[in-house]
Amino acid sequence: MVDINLHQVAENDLRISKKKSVLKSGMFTSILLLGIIFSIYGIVVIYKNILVNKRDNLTLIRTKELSSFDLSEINKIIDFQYRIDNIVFNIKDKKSPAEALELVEKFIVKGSFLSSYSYDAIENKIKMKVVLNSFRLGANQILSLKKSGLFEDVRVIDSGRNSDEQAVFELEAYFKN
Amino acid sequence: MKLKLLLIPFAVLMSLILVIWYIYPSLFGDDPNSIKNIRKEVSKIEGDIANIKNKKSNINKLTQAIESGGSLGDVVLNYYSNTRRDEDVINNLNNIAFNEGIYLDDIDLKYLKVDKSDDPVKVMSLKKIEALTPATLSGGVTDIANQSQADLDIQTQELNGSRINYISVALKGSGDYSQIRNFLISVNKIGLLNKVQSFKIYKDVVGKENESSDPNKLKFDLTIGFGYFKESKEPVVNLLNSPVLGLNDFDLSEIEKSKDILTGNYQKSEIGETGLINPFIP
Repeated sequence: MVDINLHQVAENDLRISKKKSVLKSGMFTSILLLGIIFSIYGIVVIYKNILVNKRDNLTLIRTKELSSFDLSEINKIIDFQYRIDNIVFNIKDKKSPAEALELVEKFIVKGSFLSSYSYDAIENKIKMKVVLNSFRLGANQILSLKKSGLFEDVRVIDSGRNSDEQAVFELEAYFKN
Repeated sequence: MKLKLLLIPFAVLMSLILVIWYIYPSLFGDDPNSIKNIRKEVSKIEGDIANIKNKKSNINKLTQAIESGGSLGDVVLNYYSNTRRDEDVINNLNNIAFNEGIYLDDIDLKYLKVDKSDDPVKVMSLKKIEALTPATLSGGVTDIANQSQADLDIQTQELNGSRINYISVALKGSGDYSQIRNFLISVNKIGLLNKVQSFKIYKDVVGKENESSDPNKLKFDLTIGFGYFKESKEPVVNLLNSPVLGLNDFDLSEIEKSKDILTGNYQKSEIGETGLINPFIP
């Protein structure tokens, strides 16, 4: 009786069939993979085109909306607001001449009088030519302005006597900012 | 069989190439044409359109508010005008002088602009007109274009120089102290945007009074500016960033509070009778 190894033959068959199934499943996976990837590729291409079209349409709508603005109307609105802002600012910022006069009425020393008084809003200063009975009163006048707390600098521009032997001081005072 | 064997690496390779070369960059790449960036752009443009529509609705409301602004709106339009109103300036100064018993020797008018180097706050108590930062349309209407501060400062200076105008009036007159005082106070409330830039009150003869002349009589020089402005003519991209267009209505509460000062003693000029057969004889 000849011995035949049936077991070995069965193992070979099994190996071949395993190889075949691996190949089959590998092929299937490859096709599936390619299918998925190409599907994604297709979806991306289509989605991108949809988005690009949407963007172009929206850009067109935006341009149309922008061009439909009535420029003169917008400028009118902006000017109106500009007026409101500046009217309010102007009233609050500018100094009333009354203030400039009140301060000299308040801080001028007794025994003197003004021969001239000026106020400059741009340089924010006052200038006064004051005639006094004595130089001492001139010093008092300088001190009165300095102690008022309104000025950051008080200067003597000129001083002397007039033909009536009265002391004359020309003073300049810069308001605090 | 061999072909079948090659299919697996081919599929893997092909998939990798497609993913690396097209799919990933298209979805998440930094390229402006990637889906990520297009989606961003689309949402920005949608935002822009909504913003524009919102601004349009505000513009309609604000235009209506100006047109039906009533007395307060008229006060605003009259007080700070966009036209030069010499006639109103002269007429009202003359009226005030007459009412306060002031004799006017001279009225001298000059038409000036706030110079580039001038500070409008100092000259006319007016705010600087800030240059509006233009919007960029490529990125989105609400984006601010990349402009340097130096460029904006130059534009601001030019805007102020070209848009803020004023009539500078130099007055010479005489009266007693209380008359001049009242005149100066009234002029400050004339009902037209103004700023008393300077004044000088002085005795006619310094030191020694002329016996025949009134010792109370004083002279004065006054320089006062009356502001008017040139209308804005900005392009739409500049205007869209203006904060005003974000409002539904104007806030006139401060105007209401100052209404008395703003209307003041203003009187509108009228032509009166005209026509003479011989214009050289009154």
